[in-house]
Amino acid sequence: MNKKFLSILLAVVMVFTMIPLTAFANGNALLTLDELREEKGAITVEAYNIGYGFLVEPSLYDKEGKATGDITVDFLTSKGINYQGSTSYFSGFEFDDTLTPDYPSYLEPYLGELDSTGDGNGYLAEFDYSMYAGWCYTINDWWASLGADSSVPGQEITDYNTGESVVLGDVIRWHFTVYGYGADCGYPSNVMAEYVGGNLFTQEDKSDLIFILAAINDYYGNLTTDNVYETALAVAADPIATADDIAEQETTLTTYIEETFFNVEETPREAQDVSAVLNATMAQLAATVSEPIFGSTGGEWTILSLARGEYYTKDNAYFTDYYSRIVETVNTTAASVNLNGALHSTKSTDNSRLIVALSSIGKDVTAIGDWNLITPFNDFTWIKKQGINGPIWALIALDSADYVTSDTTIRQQCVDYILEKQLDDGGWALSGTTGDPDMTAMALQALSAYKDQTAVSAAAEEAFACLSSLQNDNGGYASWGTVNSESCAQVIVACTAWGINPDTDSRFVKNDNSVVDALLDHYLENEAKFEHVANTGSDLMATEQACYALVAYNRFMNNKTALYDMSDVDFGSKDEVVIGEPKATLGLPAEITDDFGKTFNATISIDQWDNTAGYKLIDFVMNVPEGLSVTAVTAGNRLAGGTVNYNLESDTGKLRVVYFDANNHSDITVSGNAFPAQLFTVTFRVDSVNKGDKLDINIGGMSIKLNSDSTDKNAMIVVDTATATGNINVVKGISYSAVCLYTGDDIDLIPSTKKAVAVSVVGIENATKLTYSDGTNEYEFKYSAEISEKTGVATYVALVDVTIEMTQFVNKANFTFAEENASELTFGDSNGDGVINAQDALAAVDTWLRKTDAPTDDEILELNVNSDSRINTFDALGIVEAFVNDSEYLIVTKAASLSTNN
Amino acid sequence: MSKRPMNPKTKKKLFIGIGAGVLLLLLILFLLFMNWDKIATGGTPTLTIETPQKISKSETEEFTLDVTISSFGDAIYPAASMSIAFDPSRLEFIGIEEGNVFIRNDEGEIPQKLPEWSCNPEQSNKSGKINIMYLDTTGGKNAFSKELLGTDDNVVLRLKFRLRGSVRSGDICDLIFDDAVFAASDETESLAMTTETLKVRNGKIVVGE
Repeated sequence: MNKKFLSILLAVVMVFTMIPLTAFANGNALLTLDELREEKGAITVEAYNIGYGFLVEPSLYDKEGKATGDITVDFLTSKGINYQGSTSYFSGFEFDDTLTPDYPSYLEPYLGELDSTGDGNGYLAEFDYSMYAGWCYTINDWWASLGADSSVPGQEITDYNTGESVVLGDVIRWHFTVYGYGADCGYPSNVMAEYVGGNLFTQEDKSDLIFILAAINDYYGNLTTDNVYETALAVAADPIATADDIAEQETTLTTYIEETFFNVEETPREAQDVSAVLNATMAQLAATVSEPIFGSTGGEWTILSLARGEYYTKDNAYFTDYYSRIVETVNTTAASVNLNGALHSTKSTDNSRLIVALSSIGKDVTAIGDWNLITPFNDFTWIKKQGINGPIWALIALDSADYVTSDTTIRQQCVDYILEKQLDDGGWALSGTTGDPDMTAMALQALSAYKDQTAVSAAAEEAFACLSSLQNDNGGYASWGTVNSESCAQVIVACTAWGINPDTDSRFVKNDNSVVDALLDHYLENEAKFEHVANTGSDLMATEQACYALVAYNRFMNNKTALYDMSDVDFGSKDEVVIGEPKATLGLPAEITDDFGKTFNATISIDQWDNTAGYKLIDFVMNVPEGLSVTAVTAGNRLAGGTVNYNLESDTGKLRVVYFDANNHSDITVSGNAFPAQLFTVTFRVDSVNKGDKLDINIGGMSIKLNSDSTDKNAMIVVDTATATGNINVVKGISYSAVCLYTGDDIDLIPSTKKAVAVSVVGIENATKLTYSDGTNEYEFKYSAEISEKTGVATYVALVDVTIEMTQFVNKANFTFAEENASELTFGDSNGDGVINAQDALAAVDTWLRKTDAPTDDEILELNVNSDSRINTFDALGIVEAFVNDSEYLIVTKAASLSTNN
Repeated sequence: MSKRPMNPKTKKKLFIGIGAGVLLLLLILFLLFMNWDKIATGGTPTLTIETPQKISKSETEEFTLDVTISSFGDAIYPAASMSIAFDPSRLEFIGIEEGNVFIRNDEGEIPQKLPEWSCNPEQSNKSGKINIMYLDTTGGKNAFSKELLGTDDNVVLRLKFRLRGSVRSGDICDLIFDDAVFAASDETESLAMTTETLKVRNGKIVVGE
C-alpha cells in the first residue's frame, strides 16, 4: 500500500531525463537581466540530498509556452543525458548511481533508512539510495503536484493537492529526494511532507539566484577570475543556505554582470589624420581648376581651399593671376549691376563668397578695382533678399577679417534675423519646418563669432542637437532627401568653428562612424576627388566643399584659426574699412534733335539711402548748358517727406534744387529696397541749339543734410557726384542710341544666344512702329512707355541675337518706321492685360518652376524685371515689390541710366 | 338685379386659395431676401469691403474694415492682389491685419496657415492707392482654395485706418477696388476683376458727428 502510494505520487511528479538546453545567440545588443528573463527561464537537476549539489548547473530555456516535461526533455537532449519514464513522469536520469552519498545534516536522523549506493544501472532513479527515492520538481516556490506534462511555466494552474490557483514561475528545479516524499527538499508548499511529520528543514527561495547563474552560464559568460560564479553556485547548491547568503550572491552576480557587460568604459575614439587625403585633393583641385574665375564652382571655393590649406603661398601666381581676373570681373559686373559694389542685384552671397576668397589670399576687398565689395552690406534689405542665405553669408564674410560697415547695426540685424528664423527642431532651412543639415550648419558657422551672446549660445546648443539627431547611422547626412557629401562638409566646418571635434565628439559619431568618416566615404581615392552622392562619380562642387571641410578639420587638429577666421592672414597695411559716401548718377538721352520747344528728361539717382538716419533736406546744383531751359523738376515717386523748389540762374546756367519739408521738417525717406533709386527728374526744353552741338550736363554738387547747424561736421553728407555727368549730342532729324540691358546665361530660361536691347530714337513721334533689319536678322521693336517717359526720348526694346554688334542698333539704315503705332511692352505685365497684379507675379513663379511653356521673347522681356540674366523668383518678388511700393522696375532705372552709345 | 349669394363651399375655396397665394408670395419674398447676395452677383465670387454704417468724426482710434470673399472656384490660387483707391486726405491707412481665410500648409495640405500679405502704408498714403499682394513662391503649396473657406464670413484680410483730423461730419470716404485678382496658374481659372470672374463691392465710410 505504502509502495503503491509512493509510486502514484512519483508518477505525478518525477521524471528522469536531461535535455541539452537549446543554445541561443543574440546577435543584437546585449540584453539586461530583466530583458533576458522576458525571453528565458532556468532549469536545473540537483542531487543535494546525496551531497552532490547540481548534477547539471543552471541553464536557460526558451519561454515558448511548452510544458515542463517537454522543456526538460529539450534540456536533457541538449546535454546528451538520457532519461527513463515519460514527459509526465521521469523515473530516472542518466547519472552515476553508485556515488558514495554525503547526506546532509538534516537527513542524519534517518540514515538508517538510507542506503550507501544505488542499483548501479547508470541511472539515478527511483529507489536508488532509499525506498523513498525518486525525482520531483518545483517551479519557483511551487512544489509540483501535477505531472510534468501538465504544468507550463508562466501559466496559471490548479494545484492538485490544495485545489488553489497558482501562477507558475519560470525556474524549474529537479530535486532527487531520498526521504519523506520530498520532505528532504524543504519546500513549505509540499503538503505531502506532512505524511512524515513535515519538512526536514525549510529551503529558501533560490529562483532568482539560479536564474542569474543560468544567465551567466548560457548567455553572458563567466569572465571573472575571482570565483564569484563558483561561490554563488555553491550557495545555490546548499539546500540550507540562508536568505541573506542567497541575496548577497544575487547582488554580487548582478553587480558582476552590470559592471562586466553594461558599464564598459569605451576606449576614447582617436581623432584621425586626414592630411594625406587633403593633400591629394588639394593637388588635384589645383590641377583641375587651373584658372579659377569668379563663380560658385571652379572659383572662390577652390581659392579658399588652397589658401587656407596652405597649398600655395599668397604671392603664388595661381592666386595673383586669379586676383587679376577678379579685378576685371568686378569692374565689369559691379558697373553693370550698378548697386554700389554689389555683384548681383539680389544675391548678396556673390559678394560674400568673393570676400571670403579674397580675404584668404590677403586682398583688400574694400578696393577691388574701382569697387568696395563691403559697401553694399550697408543695406540689410539687399542682404536678406536671398532669404536666410544672405544674412548667414554676410556675417561669415564681414567677420572673416573684421570688416567695418558704416551702419554698425548690420551685423546684429543679421544675427537677429538668423535667430528669428530658427525652426522648432533647432535647425534652419531655406523653406519648410524641418531643419536642413546644410543650412543649419551654415547658420552655426555664421553665429560662431557671436557665441558670447546668450541667445546665440542657446540657439547653437539646440542647433547642434538638431544636427546630431539628423545624422544617419553611417555618420552621414541627407539634405532634401539625398545622402550627400556636401552636408557632411558643412557640418564639419560648423563643428570646427565652434571648437567641436567632428571626428570624436559623441554627438557626431553614430555606430562608431563620425561625420568625418561619412565624408571620407565619398572620397574616390583613384581620382583624389569626392562624389556628391555615393556611386555617382566625382563632382567638382562636392570636391571643393569636401576639400575646404578637410582644411577646416586639419586646421582644427593643428590648433590653427577656423576656416573663415582670417585673423592669421597677412593683409599688409589694410586700413579700416568704412562704407563710402552715397553716389549720385545722372541719366541723360544720348541725343536730342535741335527742334525748338522739344523737351527731354534727365534723371538723378542715388545708390543708397538710410531711412533711419533722419535726413531733412537734399540739395544739388546742376550745370545746365546754354540753349536749354528747365520746365520742371519733380521728385521721384519713391522719395517722400518734402517738396521740390528750384531755380535756374540764367546768367550762370546753374540749376539749384532743394527738397525738404518747410513746414514740419519731416524726415526724408526713400521707399522700396532696390537701388539705385531715382530721386529727381529734370525736364529740359530746347531753346536754341544746333546740330552738332554737344551739351555737357553735370551735377556740380549734392548734399544731404540732417540739421541746420553748419558747424556740426556730422550735419551734412556730401554725395559723390563725380560720375553724375554726361553729354548730349544735338542731331537733326532722326538718330538712334542703344544700350544692352542684359544677356541670357542659359541657367534660368533666357538663352545665352539672346540679349535685350533698348534703342532710343530721337526725332520721331512716340510709339511709331519700329522695325530692325540688317539683312540677316529682323526684329519688331516694342515701344516702352516707361523708359520713354523717364528719359523723354522714345525708347524701344527687343530681344535680339547676341552676336549682333551694338553699333548695328545706331545705324539708321537698319531701321524702318511704319504708319501704325508700335506694339507696346509693359515690364511686369506678362499677360498683356494692361494691369500688373498677382497674376503677373505668379506667372514669373510658374515660368521659373517650368510649369508653363518656355517663355517667348516678349515674355522674357516682360518678366525679367530685375534685368539680370535669368527669369526666376527674384523677378516675381520684383513684381510684388514694385506693386506694393508703387515703384519702378530695376530694368527701367537701368535703361534710363545707361544712356551712352555702346 | 340682386347679387346671387356665393355658395359657402365656393367661398371657402376662395379664401383658401387667396391664403395659399399670400403664403406663396411671402415665401418667394423670403427666399429672395435670403439669397439676395447670390442673385445680385449671379453666384460669382465676390470680394467685399465690409464697412460700418457710420463712424464718428471724433473717433481718433484706429478701426478695421474686413475684406471678405464669398466663395472660390475649383482651382487653387497661389497669388492674390488688390488695389484699393481711397482719399488719403480723409483717411490714414495704417496697415493690414490677418483675416481668417487660410492658405495650404508647406506640404500643400490642410490644415493650413495664414498668408503673409505685402503692402506699403507709407506709399499708399502718398498715392491714395492701397496695393496689397500675396505670392506663394512655391507655385501652389501655400495656395488659397475653396476647402479652406468657412461657412460664415470669410475675411481675407483687414484694412486698418484712422480718420484724419480734417474730416467733417457728413463726409463720405469711398474705398474703391481698382483691381483685384485671385490668380491661378491657369489664367482661365483665375478670379479677376478684369475678366469679371470676380465681382467686387466697394466700401463707403460715412462720417457722423
